[in-house]
Amino acid sequence: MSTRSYRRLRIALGGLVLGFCLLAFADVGDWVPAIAARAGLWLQLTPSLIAITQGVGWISAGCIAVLLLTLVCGRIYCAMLCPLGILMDLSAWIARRTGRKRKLPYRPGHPWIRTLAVVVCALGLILGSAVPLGLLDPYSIFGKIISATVRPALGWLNQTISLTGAIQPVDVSPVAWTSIGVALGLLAVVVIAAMLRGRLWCNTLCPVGAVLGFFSRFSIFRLQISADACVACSLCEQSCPAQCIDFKNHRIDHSRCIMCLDCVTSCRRNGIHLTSNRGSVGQKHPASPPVVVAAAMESTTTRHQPAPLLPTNRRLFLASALSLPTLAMAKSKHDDADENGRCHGPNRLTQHNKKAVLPPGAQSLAHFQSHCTACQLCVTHCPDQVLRPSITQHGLSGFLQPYQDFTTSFCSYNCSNCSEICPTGAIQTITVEERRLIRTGTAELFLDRCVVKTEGTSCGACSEHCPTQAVHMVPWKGGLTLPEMDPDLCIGCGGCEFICPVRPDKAIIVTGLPVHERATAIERGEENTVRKMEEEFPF
Amino acid sequence: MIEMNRRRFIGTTAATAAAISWNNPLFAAAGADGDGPWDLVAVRNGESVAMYEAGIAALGGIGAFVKKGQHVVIKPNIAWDQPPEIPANTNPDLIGAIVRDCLQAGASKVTVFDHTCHKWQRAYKTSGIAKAVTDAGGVMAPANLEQQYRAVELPKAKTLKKALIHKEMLDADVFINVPVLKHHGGAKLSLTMKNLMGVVWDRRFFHKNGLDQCIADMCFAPRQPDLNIIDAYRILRKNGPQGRAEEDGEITKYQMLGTDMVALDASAAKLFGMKPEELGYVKIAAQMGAGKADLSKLNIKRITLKA
Repeated sequence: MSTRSYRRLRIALGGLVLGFCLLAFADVGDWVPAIAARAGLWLQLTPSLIAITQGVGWISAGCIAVLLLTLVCGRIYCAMLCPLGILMDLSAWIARRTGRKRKLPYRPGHPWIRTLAVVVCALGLILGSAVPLGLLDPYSIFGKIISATVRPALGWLNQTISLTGAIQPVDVSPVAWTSIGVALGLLAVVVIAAMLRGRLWCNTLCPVGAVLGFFSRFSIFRLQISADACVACSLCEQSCPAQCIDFKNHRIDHSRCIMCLDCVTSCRRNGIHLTSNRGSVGQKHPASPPVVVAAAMESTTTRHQPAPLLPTNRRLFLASALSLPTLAMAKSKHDDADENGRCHGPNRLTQHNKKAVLPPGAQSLAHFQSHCTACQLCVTHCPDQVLRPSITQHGLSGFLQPYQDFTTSFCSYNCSNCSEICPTGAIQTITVEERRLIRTGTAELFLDRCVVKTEGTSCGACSEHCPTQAVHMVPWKGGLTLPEMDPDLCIGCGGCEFICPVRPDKAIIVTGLPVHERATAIERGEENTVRKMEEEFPF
Repeated sequence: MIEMNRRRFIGTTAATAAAISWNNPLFAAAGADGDGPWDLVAVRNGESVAMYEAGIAALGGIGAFVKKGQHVVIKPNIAWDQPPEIPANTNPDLIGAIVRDCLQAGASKVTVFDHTCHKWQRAYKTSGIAKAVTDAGGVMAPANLEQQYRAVELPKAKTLKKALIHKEMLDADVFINVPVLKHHGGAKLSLTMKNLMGVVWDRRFFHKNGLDQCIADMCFAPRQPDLNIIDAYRILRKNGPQGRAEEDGEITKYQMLGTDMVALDASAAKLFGMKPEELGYVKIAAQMGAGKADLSKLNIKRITLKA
């Protein structure tokens, strides 16, 4: 393949990847079904690597394909499969087009930063939080940026146009300002770094770049500068977005080369070639600092076996230690409620200080926190828009990982979309039937706040929204009905809390379970009864 | 083509209605019922569509309500993501038949909407109503955004003095209210008045400020239904208003049509096996003069279809 057609392929494929990821994360209209999203994101390295430990079969094959590809041809992944990398190339291209001259001289690598980035991610995973990884991993960063910025913008646009009747309105969860702030901050860092220094991020803070950089050192095909052809014009060095070409010494740092092949095109003497590594091992190639190797190896081993290195309890403890402020706020409800559900004292349970509810399929807080990189794909695709990025709801060790926000919506009894779309297995794939038996939280009644008792008027909103009738209405005085709980039937969907009209503190609150439970199945009669026609009309 | 003017239109519809009901073996003898006009028409022992056809004919046909070129808005109950077998929503066949009938009567457009409790796209779809309406030539309108509602005042109401009401209803030439008879944990039964909660944006206001009073207050909304049809073909006997299994539903094969919501709700209460005064909102609405809860004072047409 000529370098020119390679460049075309790189741009075309990169455009496809960027377009698809944009569509998947900004999806407000159910354009991308769960299965298509998973297929389209199949090659994304980080989710695919995490999925290996989750037995999400064919998804995890994606990372193996990428690693093999890297062993053969270097970091092609970074050139055309990484949505954030393509966004960086696009930013740099725009910067060049708008007058900024790109002359990026060779710079030595920053092996210790790369090591540190990988160590931080690995430490996070060991301690039971995938949040540090999620804040550095390019796929997850891209998801965070798009779902917090483009998605709400599209939602607003859609709703504005829909008022004319031209299109159908969609439901988009309210703007989460903190996640927008984080998204814009990350976007600014990524774009500015790309404009000034090309692929600087990829070779400093990106853990995927570090891991693939480790493998690309051993790749079969790699770029070599032919000393015979080189006239030391420096064009290749200036064209390299990774700043990894040292033309004076005819050296290319293959651990940082992202295989864009811009240098090949730039060389007027055809002096840079893709050559086979075989038989030429030991030839002069840059002495990569051993520390990068060690770091990369460490990261790969930890990711291949993220099985608990410590017992779960200790992991949970360590992870929770990161979230002391939240824990301090969320004092156990049992401390200040008597047997009638009456609350006393300043710390009584409200919808603001309760434990947050995880998506069904997340299994447990420990499982979820250690596998969710907070890419926000489920947040985008939640049909009920009940999933929102958490700020402190899961503690700081769960920063931006989704939780169920019952102030704006509740979890459907007939849906398991988040579990079908999650690319890491943080939310395990379940069917709708399975979802109906998963208890993600438990509803608790506070009858002293209930409008039936306080105002003496009928209500029943909680029971109305309860799909299992765990909350049901029983006769009370004066012909009124009062809600009553059957906790065995409760699945924690939050319908009751969502609709409860009592303010400021609602009279029924669903608090999340740290480990999901199995709810009692309701006995569902399969047939309507048939009434025999009366002799006379009843009126 | 014969030019249709109002007089000819009314004449034709009346003649058609008379022709259908005259000695029609479909209808049983009127029995003790006197002559029209009727305060309430009750039909039983047929499929939804057949009962609707018989009932609307007794009221003078849909032409008595819908004139050529008018925009008709139908408000069924589509609150829940439940299939027709669990009667949490109005029967889709019935809604389809009404849409078709209105269009045949010359309606320029028939719009159907509900402010759903579950996600609207799912409720519209699972209930079977979206398909029935579009197949019949009607349009489903969304009701999920506050901007689709308009603030109105209800000066004669007691508690619900102000409300955001869906523009489709407020701007309709003809408004038809088609609830399904179902059990309700809080209000005991969900009927015509309760169904109007689905045209209001803030339903929590009702629950917070006296559910029965607010439901009754809807009788004083600036736009009132021109026709109400209670679908009691398949009713929800328990676990309402959402229902959780097919066993909660009962095939009863009744339908009540009329303009007096209080009378209609009272008749439905009796059909369910309750006294009308057991329903707080019926009692309040009758006291406020919104309609007649005493069925003995009404001119009721009772039709039993031959099986």
